[in-house]
Amino acid sequence: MPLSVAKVIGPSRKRGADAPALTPTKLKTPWVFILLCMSPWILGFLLFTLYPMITSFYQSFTSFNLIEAPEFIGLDNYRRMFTEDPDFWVSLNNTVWISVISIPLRISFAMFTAWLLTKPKHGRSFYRTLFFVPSMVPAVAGTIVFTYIFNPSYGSINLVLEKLGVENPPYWFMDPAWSKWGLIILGLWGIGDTMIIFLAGLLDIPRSLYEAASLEGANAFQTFRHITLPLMTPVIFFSGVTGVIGSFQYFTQAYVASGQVNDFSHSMYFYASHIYYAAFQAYEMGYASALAWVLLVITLVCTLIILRTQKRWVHYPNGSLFK
Amino acid sequence: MKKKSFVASLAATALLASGLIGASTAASAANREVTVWVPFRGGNLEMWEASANRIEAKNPGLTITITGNIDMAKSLAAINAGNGPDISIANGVGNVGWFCGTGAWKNLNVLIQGPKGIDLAKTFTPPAIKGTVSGNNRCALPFSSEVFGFYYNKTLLAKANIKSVPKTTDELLVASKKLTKFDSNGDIVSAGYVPWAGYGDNDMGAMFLGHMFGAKWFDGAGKSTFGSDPKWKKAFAWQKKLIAQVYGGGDFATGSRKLTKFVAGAGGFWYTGNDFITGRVAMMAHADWMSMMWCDPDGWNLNPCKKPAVNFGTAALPVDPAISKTHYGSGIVGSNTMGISKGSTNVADAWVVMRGIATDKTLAVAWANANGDPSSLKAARVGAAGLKYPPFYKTFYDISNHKMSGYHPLMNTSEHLEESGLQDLMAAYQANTVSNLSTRLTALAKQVNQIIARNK
Amino acid sequence: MTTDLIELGISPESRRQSRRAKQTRIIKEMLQSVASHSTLILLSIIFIFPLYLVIVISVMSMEQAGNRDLWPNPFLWGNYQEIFTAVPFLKWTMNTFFISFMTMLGTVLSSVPPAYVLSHLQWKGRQTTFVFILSTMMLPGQVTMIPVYVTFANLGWIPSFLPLIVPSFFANAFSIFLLRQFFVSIPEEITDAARIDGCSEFQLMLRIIIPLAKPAISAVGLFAFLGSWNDFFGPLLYLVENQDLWTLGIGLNSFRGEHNVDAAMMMTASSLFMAPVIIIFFFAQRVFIEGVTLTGVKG
Repeated sequence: MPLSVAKVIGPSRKRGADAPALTPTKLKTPWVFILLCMSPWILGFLLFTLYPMITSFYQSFTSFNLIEAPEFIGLDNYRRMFTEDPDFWVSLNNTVWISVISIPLRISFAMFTAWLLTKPKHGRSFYRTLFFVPSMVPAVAGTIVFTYIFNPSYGSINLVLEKLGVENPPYWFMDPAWSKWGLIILGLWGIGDTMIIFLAGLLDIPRSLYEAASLEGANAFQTFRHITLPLMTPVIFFSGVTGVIGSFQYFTQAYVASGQVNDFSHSMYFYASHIYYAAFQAYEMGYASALAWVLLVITLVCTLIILRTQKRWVHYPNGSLFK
Repeated sequence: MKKKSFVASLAATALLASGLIGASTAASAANREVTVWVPFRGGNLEMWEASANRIEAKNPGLTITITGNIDMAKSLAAINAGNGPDISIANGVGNVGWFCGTGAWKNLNVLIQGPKGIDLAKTFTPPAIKGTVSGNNRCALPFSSEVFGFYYNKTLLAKANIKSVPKTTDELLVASKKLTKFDSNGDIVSAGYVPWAGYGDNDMGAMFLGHMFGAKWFDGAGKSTFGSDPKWKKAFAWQKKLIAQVYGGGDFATGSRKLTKFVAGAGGFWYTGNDFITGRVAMMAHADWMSMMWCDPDGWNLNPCKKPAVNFGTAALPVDPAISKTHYGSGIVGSNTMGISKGSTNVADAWVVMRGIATDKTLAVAWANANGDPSSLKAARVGAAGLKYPPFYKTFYDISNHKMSGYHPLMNTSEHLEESGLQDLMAAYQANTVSNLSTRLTALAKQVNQIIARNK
Repeated sequence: MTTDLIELGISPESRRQSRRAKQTRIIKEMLQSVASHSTLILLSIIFIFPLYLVIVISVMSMEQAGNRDLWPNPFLWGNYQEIFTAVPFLKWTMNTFFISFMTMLGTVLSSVPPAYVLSHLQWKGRQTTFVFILSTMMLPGQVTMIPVYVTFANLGWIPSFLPLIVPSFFANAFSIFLLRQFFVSIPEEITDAARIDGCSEFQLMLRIIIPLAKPAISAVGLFAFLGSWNDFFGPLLYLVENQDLWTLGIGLNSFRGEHNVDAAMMMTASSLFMAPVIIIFFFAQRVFIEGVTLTGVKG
């Protein structure tokens, strides 16, 4: 089954971002209809985005335990975060660590598997299905399966590693030094959806470019460096941005894994877990709101940095929304 | 909810009927209704209802409504929101600080000393009296207790030719060494005592360690002494020594690694696959009510204990030889507590009801027969009419009688940071990731003090 | 192009050379094909192994599950019966299904109209609105989570399914985005012609766009369903207090400790939890893959 990405999104590209209306008869804009149709989103935005944002911003300057009315305490929550809360630093460290390691790894691995999938003449969709299926598995189930597979006593990963001659295989989730690697591997196992995006990107690259390169005697590396990579930069850029946003919200896998193995050492305690514990275990809603706003600022800064640098390295064939 | 008590786990798995929340109303003085929220259900709830009937019979005009299946967090939230019951329960030891510190429960001094008061010292055991204050705030009455002691596998000890139960930490180390067996790969097949945070499905490893060495949690001013009491360092050093000598052939890192793998292969804790039942571990520290599972893993019955699932014995926790004269025989004893909500409009009647429940000997005896948990009511302890317990169980009564027994002073540290933080530190230490223990202990003390200050 | 010209006047000598070159190229291609297929097969094994393990352990005995065995002996198919009696598995499944179904319904109903007016109607500020909607996708959920939770708590909706279902009826940026991308691929000529015929905008959306966009709507519906089926955080916040309302994710995570469930049974439950998702995927693979692709490429 060939991918028909071009077919699906082609017209939108052709039309361009703000192309003037091609409507032959100038009709009056049906504002009531538009407003009616947009109303679910507008209401949703007001109720579940704007109001909560304003409220949580205010509450980040209060002491609020869900029961008594919020009490204004100025910048105390922010001061406490940076000076009195070691868990804040632990969670921030873990989060930065996993972002720095896992985002590039995920991108490379997605690129590699997608590239492999472009190779065979037959059976591509078969392999693609197999690679994609793990990404469908519910996070809780996947994590529980991996805590089992990684168990030093009865897990099969270490059985394989021992067979391969590894003397002291790591204890994965049971070892603070290795637990995050366990999570990274769990993430790579579910690379399927990212891989599909990379695959579509690779298949979008015109064959003629490769043919021209091979005629000019370019080797595989040069072809990759000068054709594939530049044309894949929009996809890489997209994965980078979503990766940063995603890693600061990384929760379920870490929560489930650390619950299954008693992670007293907090090696799998990430920023999102810290917010969760502050809000729903300690019921310190004000403090948790402050943590959330710091999270927002961090993600915004990271995204802006990537956006700023994109002009230097992201190569767009034509119009894009964020250009 | 820190301690995993049997009662707590029942409450946690209980189907909580949400419709019940908010059903209570602040009783007006005219109708003299007193509402009580408890986490119990089934037989335990029936015992409470029977007790309420007895109190009603003695106090004409009084109505008591008992609602079961309500856990602690729910009660606390409702009390603070102003629609809680008159009386609620903090199940699981050590949670009194939470209820008192947030002001959810009223101070009881006036009532206790009043005309319908209680002579605490005559009525309750000393650990129960100590365990019902938060800081200096007496805001609760005890209901039952949890006693933590030492379990050992008689068959395995006999096989290893260990004549007497280890009484000191040194003896415990020697016995562990005799009991531990490795397979041909060098993996631990069965272990003696495992001083390991996170082993045995409870988070009290660090508390046991502290108790064994008589380490102090707070000074007289209510400040954390993790950094200043050298006994904490001594306790951790012993943990390290045991891991190295028993499990690592002298090397700590090796022992730590082997124990990690051993702990990873533990059977499920709450059923017959439990390591202590299968003989995978020979000695462990745990609560009195674990006896119910050793006696009958399927039905959790203490009486009678004719065919236990494992041939086990009970004792007090071994202690540091330096303090064994004064401390051996003692243990960690926590109280389950109850208090009167700050929003109660019928305090006089609520007090009558609470005092009635706390001193109801029939209830206390029935409770102890069904759940273990030596009563905090003196009249319902060893020798009380109708009280049944298997012979081995007397150990727990003895432990709770010991004058060094008790719980560390309870402060309002929100989610028990003094306990969870210490447990986390122990876990980091046993995983060989702590380079400077003193710094970490001092930092933890500072953090605990900050939380106490903030919650004031 | 230049090569072709040269090849027109080739000598027998160079023809032989080119045949040899062709042969080496075929060999090279064969080798490459063998190499890529073996790498693909190896990777496939790695990807599938955990799923294989779930299935085989799910029918093992408790003892065997603790043995690193890779083949059940004997097969305990009874595990699949036992899981329903050991825990309220059926109830959890029904709960999860109900929430997922309602979420799917709400998402589709509320996201189609905005996507329509953002694609087939010309109005001032349309593009700005669209970009604004997209930018809300960047907002971390944690920032809004607490006030939303407090609101639901004040409404007395915790614990209940309502906090998980109701918001889906207020559209969401991701679904609007996906639908809009499909909608713009429907040629303007069709809608323009209908307008000239006097078709109202509402009729146009209902009678022309929706039937044409069935694949897109199914994709959005499927994503909503699966997103809800796989969700853990939402139920963790809103359902934990009442075991009657638990979903499969919450139930599965709580197995350890609370119930007499061993490793083998954990895998039994896990396999039942992931089965519907994987079955749906095999039936709707095309919809899925195109949907996922679309979310990424246009960035």
